[in-house]
Amino acid sequence: MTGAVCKRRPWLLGSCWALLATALGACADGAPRTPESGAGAAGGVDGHAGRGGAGVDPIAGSEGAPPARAPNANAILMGRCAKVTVQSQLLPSNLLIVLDRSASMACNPPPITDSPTCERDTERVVADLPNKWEITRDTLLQALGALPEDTVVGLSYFSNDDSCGVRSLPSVPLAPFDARQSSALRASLLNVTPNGATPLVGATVLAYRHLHDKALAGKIHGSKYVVLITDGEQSDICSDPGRCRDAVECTRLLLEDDVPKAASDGVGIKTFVIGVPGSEGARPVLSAIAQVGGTAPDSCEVSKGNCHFDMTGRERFGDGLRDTLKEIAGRALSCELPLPDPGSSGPLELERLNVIYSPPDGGEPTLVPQDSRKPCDRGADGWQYAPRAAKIRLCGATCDRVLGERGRGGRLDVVLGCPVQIVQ
Amino acid sequence: MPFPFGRACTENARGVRYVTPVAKAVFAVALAAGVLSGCAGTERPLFEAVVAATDPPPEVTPPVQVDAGPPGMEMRTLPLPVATPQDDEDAGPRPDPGLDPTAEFPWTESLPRAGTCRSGRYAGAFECVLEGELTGLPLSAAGEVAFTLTGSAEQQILTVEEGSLVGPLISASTITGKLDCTTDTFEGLSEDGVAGNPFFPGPFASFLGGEFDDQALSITGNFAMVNEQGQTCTGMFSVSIAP
Repeated sequence: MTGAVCKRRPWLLGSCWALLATALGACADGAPRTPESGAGAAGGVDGHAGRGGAGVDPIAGSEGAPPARAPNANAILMGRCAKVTVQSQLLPSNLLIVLDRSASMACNPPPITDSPTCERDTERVVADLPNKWEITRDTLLQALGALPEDTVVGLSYFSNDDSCGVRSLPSVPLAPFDARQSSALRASLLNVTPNGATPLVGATVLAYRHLHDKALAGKIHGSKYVVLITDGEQSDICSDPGRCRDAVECTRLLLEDDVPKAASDGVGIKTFVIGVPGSEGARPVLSAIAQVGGTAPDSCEVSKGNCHFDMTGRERFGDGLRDTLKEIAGRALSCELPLPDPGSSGPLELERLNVIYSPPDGGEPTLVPQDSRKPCDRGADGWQYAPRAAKIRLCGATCDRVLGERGRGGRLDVVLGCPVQIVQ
Repeated sequence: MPFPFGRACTENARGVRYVTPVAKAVFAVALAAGVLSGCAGTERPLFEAVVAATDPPPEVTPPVQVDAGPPGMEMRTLPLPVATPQDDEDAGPRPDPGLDPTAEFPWTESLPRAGTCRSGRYAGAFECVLEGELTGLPLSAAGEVAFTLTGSAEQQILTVEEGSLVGPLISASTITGKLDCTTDTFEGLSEDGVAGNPFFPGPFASFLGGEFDDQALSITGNFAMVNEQGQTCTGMFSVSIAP
């Protein structure tokens, strides 16, 4: 049957070779060969009669079927075409939190102190109740605790003085979120009190600079995010005369120049934005930053100000912030693999690379197909090359599964030499 | 089936797995003889949604189950890769080749300051010297200056309220102005001064221009008075925050 299919469809000869080889070597242990193992395979090659067909989750199987033994992975692993197999790991996520500590963060949140009143007088009215800064700080500390240990985290404040000061070097430098980094973040947050204006633009621009410089230096790898948390807009007084003269001009510069540049393929920094109470008037601006920064939901509209995480309408600000930070932590998990070094086996051939995933608990290795039919975050299920073929990205259900089984002993291998297997 | 000649597959420090040349040769013989298999039971159809992207047939051999060591994840099929000495070398961290080194994010960095631009009541003194020598001796004026700086640090500009200048035969009950917290510059103006000094008669205006010291919480700078006759009195002033 296999041979017949291959004769009818010579362009599938490569797969037929794999099937033929598998069939020849199969079941020498006496296990019964089922009709599926032969005819089904041919049907799959044919592209019509096989179970699932195009779009089947190659890892999880289809329609509740038991996980595939996926001998196609074995075919790749064992093929003479396989030159090198490199065990790979998901690249870490890098989160640089850019936190507003302006004087207005000292106010009690609404309804105790409404935002216009807070803007005029930043005193905490009710001393017994936490102010916006304390709620943000404590919730942030809780949320950070849920991050995977290999997540790289840093923390910058704006201002870093009590005026408009901003620096690219974070107050807590980027480092993996281990016990030491957790202590450093806690100590820093607990020693800060709100004061100063809102140099939002400068803080964001310099956060991009720091992450990009670190990446260019090879100090950080993987996905990069700025998490901007603010209760307001750029202060007029905090302009940089060399670039912009007032808040409007500086904000426009950020939206039209810096945020898109950061989100571009050559930089790859996405921007999450959280607007805490007090940012009501800044909704359109904050939403625009989130949208241009690549983190806005599909259905949002900047004019409605619903593209960022808006905490202003939340009855319980702390609960909303905790949920938001948890969601960001989940979305920021990296599903990227580094490209392997082919060593002396020759130059890396992008069309001769395959990804194999072995689930935890000794599960059978499974071939992850390349799926370029849709964007990685818009329906693809498999893997794709990142822009400029700089990295490998796992997409869709494949990414979800690998992340879900993260830390439990699963394994990713990148096999060089065999023709890439793709979803059609 | 365990490999009969010791460890068939190994793995270097970077996770690159390879098979020794001896093992590779034995595998070839074993495969040809049908001794080894890659199937341990029921299988699902292959290549349901996956096909080769390129036309040339991949060189594929039947899957082989190899005892790679401990159970679990280590018990798995292995490829027949090319192992080279360079595989063991640590290439070190390399930047992502897709990054754009020309991308820049310009913004003027500012050094953090320890102090603060603080609102409150500021009080101190002024003194100045009249221009010209009407009596052959230099004439001077001196007195007290006080004002309140109000406003939110969020604004970073504090406004002068409740200001006054008081000295012998000199008084002014209003001062307007501001302290710019980003530059630490202070500017004040009084336009309702009244002087009974025969050497500096009539209504006068006064100007205060100084620098805020965020450590000492004080303002020190230049002071000047000018009357309707165009006479000027220039000097210094200094105020500090009231305890």
